[in-house]
Formats: sequence, structure tokens, C-alpha cells
Amino acid sequence: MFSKFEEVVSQRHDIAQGYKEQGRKIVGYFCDYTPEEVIHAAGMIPVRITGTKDQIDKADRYLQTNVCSFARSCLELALKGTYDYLDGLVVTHSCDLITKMYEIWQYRLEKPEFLHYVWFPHNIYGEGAMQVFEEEVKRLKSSLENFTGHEISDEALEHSIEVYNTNRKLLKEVYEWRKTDPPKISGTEAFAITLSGLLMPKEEHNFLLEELLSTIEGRKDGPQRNARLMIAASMLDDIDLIELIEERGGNVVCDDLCTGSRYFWDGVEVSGSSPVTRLAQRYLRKVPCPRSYQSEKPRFAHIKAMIEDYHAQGVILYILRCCDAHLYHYPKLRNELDIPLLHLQGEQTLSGLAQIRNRVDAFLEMLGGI
Amino acid sequence: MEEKTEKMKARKHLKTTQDASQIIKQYYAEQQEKASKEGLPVAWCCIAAPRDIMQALDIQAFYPEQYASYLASRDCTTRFIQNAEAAGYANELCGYARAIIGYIMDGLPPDVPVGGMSRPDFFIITSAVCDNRVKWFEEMADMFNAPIYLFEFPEMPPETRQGASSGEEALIMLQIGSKDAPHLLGYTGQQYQGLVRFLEEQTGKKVDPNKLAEIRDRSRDVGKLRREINEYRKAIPTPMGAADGYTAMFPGTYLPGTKISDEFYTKLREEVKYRLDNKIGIVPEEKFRLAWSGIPFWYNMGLINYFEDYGGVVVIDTQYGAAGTTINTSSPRQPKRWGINRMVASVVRAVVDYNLDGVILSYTPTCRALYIDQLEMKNTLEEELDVPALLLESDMVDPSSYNEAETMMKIDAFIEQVTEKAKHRDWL
Repeated sequence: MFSKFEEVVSQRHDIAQGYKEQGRKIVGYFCDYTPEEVIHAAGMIPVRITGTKDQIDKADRYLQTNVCSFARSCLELALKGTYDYLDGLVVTHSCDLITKMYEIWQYRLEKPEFLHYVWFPHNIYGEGAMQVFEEEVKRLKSSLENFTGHEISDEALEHSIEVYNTNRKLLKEVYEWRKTDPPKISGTEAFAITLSGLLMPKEEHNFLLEELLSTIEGRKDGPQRNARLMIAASMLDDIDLIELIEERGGNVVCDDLCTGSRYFWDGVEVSGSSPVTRLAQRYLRKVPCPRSYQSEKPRFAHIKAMIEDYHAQGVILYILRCCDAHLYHYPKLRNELDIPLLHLQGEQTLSGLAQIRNRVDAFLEMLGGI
Repeated sequence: MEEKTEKMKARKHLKTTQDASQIIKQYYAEQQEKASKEGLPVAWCCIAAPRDIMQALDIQAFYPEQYASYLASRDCTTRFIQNAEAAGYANELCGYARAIIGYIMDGLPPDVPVGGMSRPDFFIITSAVCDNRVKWFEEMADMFNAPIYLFEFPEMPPETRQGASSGEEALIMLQIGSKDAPHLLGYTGQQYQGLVRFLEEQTGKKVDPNKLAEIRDRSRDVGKLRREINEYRKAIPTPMGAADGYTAMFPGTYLPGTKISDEFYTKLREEVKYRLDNKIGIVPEEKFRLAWSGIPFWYNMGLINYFEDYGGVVVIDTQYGAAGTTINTSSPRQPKRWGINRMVASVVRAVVDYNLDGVILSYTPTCRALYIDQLEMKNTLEEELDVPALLLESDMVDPSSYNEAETMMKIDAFIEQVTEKAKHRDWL
């Protein structure tokens, strides 16, 4: 039932390579503030750039050891040639480190041929932000048009919006099955489902989702009853952490992840203004990344609503070391939540695994006593 | 609070720069008095906030980054940093932010150097150079429940795989907008208008265009004086080094459109010119020349003088303005590429223009925005100019992060390396 999603996650680069061999063009992108529909409408497959758990070797020359381990590991893969299958790369200004990915990639690597940087406002609710970001969406569109030699029509954009909105709707339906007690779908399975969607064509992901949703109700081998947890993290690009938590006896039932709920929670309006305008609106108004100015209220509201709707009893907060935006939100988030919170210092390689395991055990034990 | 010992302060060589500490004290005293007695509005601003408009509206501006560095130079940050960390602000967050958040938590205590910063009525923040500051200022505004204006600087990376361009613009470290994104420049203009409106609302005053023009004229003059002084510093031996330069930056950075600043740099230019004409260097025999790049360790500025015992001078700092009046296009040392971005290019530019033998990169691990360029500065200097660079690791304001033995060992090895290299300057 879930094997195809898990396979995409574990074999992500081979699978992308497979599409490439079929003649498809692959465009990597950083950050869920990237208006992916535009890349899709250009006829290419957008795939999220993710990192590795492997030892960093080549990236040490360009980024110090205590720089964001996610960024370092992505650069490592690029330098090793893992991303050679990319035809293009789109980097959106999410934070200083991700901007650096663009600069280093552009200067130090010869591939891919197409590179584009999207400037994204900090002041997402501020005056003029909508117009300036709309211009940035248009600039991405024309840059892709120059690269492919084909115009991206409004019809193509409307079609891509429809495909993406369908994906969002289906993922929300999948998440409904996490509200039950016990949940029908485990956190590990759910994350493999959402994550795989970032690594494969949306049409195929939609097909797999529909197939899953048609059979899920009758599932007999779902998770057992356990403490219900929310996971919030600065960046999670593999299932291992959630898997570890669930192995220790928790059920991860919801999340605040840019590779999870924040990625698909908000759809694009289907009518009204031009598709470019509606896309700009969606990306500026979606559940924000903490890096954005005044993101605290909407992000905390999303977290609280999730806790309530999914009946979470505790939150595990996994913040990669040096992820400033998340670290600034942490003291207030800790004070505002009325359920227990476990803060784990993150590292892309999960190097402190034994310590994480012990702390998760203690947290689960504490929740068991509620 | 105890003031720090002399040995950690930078030893200055020029007479004029010694006036700067009095200017700092006077600045704080005057602002505090104007805020408390005359009730003039107080703003806490980041370093890139436009000064002229605030001066025109009689806003009493305090700069938390500057004050954090001042606290550190007096060895007074530890208790505040501990406050912030106890409240959940992680120790890998910006040292300036932790120090000032902790200072606010302590209720802006009066027993601090120069009396501290007056209670803010509002905040001004820009997104220039670093993303982290936006979050920090948002946090502070929230702590005071005060209004805040975010002035966005839409910075763009270089447009081609060649990286940064080589010209004078390398010394302007920010690239706002790009050829194919004129809307970003338009947005910046719109942001500026928004800032003016915000400040007028906060102060209940209108900007007087004549007063603003006067401040801008004077500010331009101050800028010109500073560039002239920098130009003189390119000479061998240099008449003024970074130990004096860091102290001398306060009036120009924080009081650019004022008479005090104008007078200070006029006097400084005269002194530097005199030293230049009479070939008075910083050390008796100048053997090697360095740049300091990145934020210095404010609690240990004496480190900059250490090289002088070995005939070396830290000629210029590249973070707070190394622009002179010319660029050196005739030197045989011209790189093919100038690095991944303008920040890297500005260091390469300084090495060429100031005839430098090496660069110190102060690797302040809590300042992501600056240190993430440093390995590329090192790589580019080595690849393009065969110039060595040394990374020294420590926080800018947190003395607990400083490892004396390791730092000195690295410096000694570096001194040997650059001394030897400087004997063979085939590019001069």
C-alpha cells in the first residue's frame, strides 16, 4: 500500500535519473516558497533538492563545519555529481544559507545549464510585497520560457494549478486518516507519502494517492494506539527521524514541516485574477516559514490548530543547528503551547542518534503518565 | 560593572582617533538627555537604517549592534548573554542579539557603560546583509510592544557564472535588484517612501526638505573625507591601520551628516596626510600588510596590534568600508574571477588596492551572514592571487567562545608565512 511512496523516497535520485532517460527535463528547487507550478507548466519535473546522511567531504572546502548541515549536505551531493541529472535549478531566497547555495552552485559547478534565483520578500504581509513577488513569478516564467524556447500559456498554468491543487486536496484527505484513534496511517507512512510528492511528477503522485485512498478505509494492519505526537522541524528530508520516534512507541499524527503540511496545506484560487497573480497570492499567504517577518502568529495558529484537530499530546521540535529563524521562534512557542514539547537539536546526519533515542524515550514515558 | 583591562583594548597610533571615544560617550549622553528631558522620540535601528532621514526628524537613534559591540569592548556582555540563553535563546544565535535581548530582560539597567540605550519608542530594521536581524528586531519590538518598520533590501546574487564583477561596485557589498529585475529597485523605492511615512507618523513631524538636503550634503562630504583617508592608507608604509580605523568608524557610521563628524574626519585627514608625507608608519619597518575581514572580536581588539610586534600591520578592515577614491587597475595582480559574490569581491579588491600580503578572516560562528562567505574568500584569494588567509574562530561579543592558546598558535604560524611571502612581492 505504501511501498511505492517509500521506494520513491529511498531511490529518489535513481528515479529522477529514470525520468531523465525517458526524455523528461528535471528542475531542482530549494524551499517550499518556490512557485513550482510555473516549472510544471513549462513541461518539466520539479524535484525538491534534499541532502544526504553521508559524511561531508567535498563541501568542507566551501562551507564551514558548523554551517547548516542540510545546506552542506545538499552541496556535497551537487559536488559529488549526484545532481548531474538536473537540467535546471531554481533557488528561492529563503535564508542566507540557501542563497549561498545559489552563489556557490553558480560559481563552482558547471551543471545544470539553467539557473534561476527567485527573490522572496521577508515582509510577506507588507505593502507592495504582492506586486513585487508577482513580478518575480513572471520573471521565473520568462526565464523558463527563454530556456525551453516555448511560451508558457495561461492555459498551461491553469492546468498546472489544477494538478497541484488536486495533489493538495488528496494529501489533505490522506491526513484525515491520521485523526482517528489509532490513526489509520502511521507518521512514517504519511511522511513517505508527502515527501515522495516532492520527488516525482505530480500526476503520478496523484494517481498513487487516489489508489491509496480507495483502499485505506479497510486497512487492518494500521498502527496501534500510542501517545499522539506532532513533529515540527526546520528541515526534514527523510523518514528516519519519524521512524525512530514511532519505533520507540509514539504515533506521529501531524506536523509543521515545509516538506509536510506546510507544503500542501493551502491551495491556489481557481478563478478571479490571472494565474500568475493567484500563484503569487498563494505562496505569500501560505502557512509561513519562520524566516518570514510576522510569521509567528500564522505559524503558531497552524501548529495549534493541528494539535487540536489531530489530538496531539506532545510536540517534538527538531531544529537543525544554526537554523536561526526556527531558533528565534522557539522560546515563545515553548511558552504558548499547553502540551509538552521536546526540543531536539538537529543534525542532518542524525549523528546524535543514541541521545535522541534516549530523550524520545523519556518524553514518551512522561506523556504516558499524563 | 567593571571596565575591562587595558591589554584587551586596541592600542591606537594616531592622536585624532583617540577623540572618538569621547564622541561616543557624548553621543550616548546627548541622546539620553534629549530623550528623557526633551521627550524626543527614540528609535532602535540596525546598522543599515538610513541615518539622514532620522537626523532630519530629530530621532534619537540607538544601534543595538553597535551597543553590543561597545558592551563587549568593556567586557560587559556575559551576564546579558546568560539571561537570554536561560530564556531559551540558543547559544548559536547571533551574539549581538543574545546580548541585547538579555539586556532588555534585565530592564535596561543603568549600571552599564555609557549609560546604555534609552527605552525605544519604535524600531527600524532592514533586511540588508543578514536575514537573522529581521527576526531579532521583531523579537525586540515585541518585547517592548513597540511599532517596527521593516525596510527590505532585495539583494540579488551575481548574474553570471563568472561571479562578482570587478569594478568599483565590488566595494559596495550589496547588489539590489538586477538587470532583469527592475521591479526590485522599484520596491526598494516604495519601501523608502513607506519608511518616511512611518517615521513622520511616529514623530508627528514632516521632513523638512531643506534640512534633509543639508544633512545629505554634509554626509556626502564626510563620505568623501573617509574615502580620501582610506586612499592615503594604501601607501607603504601605511599611515593608519585598522586598530585606529575601527575606533574612527563611529562618527562616520552613526553621525554621518553632522558637524562633529565633519570636524573629526577633517582633523583625521590632516593627521593621516601629515604621516603620509613624512612616511610615518605604524611600525618602524613595515614588513607585511594585512586586511581584517569580518566582525572583529570586540572584547579583544588588542589582537589587531599583536602583528605589530612582528613588523606587520592590519592596514584595513573590509567589513565597514574599505572604499578609497580610486581602484587599482594597473597592478599586475588582477584576478580572472572575483569570487561568488560582492562580499568576496570586496576582499579581493582590498587586497589588490591596498597592496596586502594576507587576510585575517574573523570567523564569528554566530554571524551566519558573514562567515558563510569566508571559505570562499580564502579559496578565491589563494586561487586568484596566491594570497594566504587565516580563519580565526570566536564570537564577536561572547568572550567565553575565545580560545587564546589556539588563536595565538595559528596567528604565529600565519605571521611566519606572510613575512616570508612579503619578501617576494613581485607584484609591486
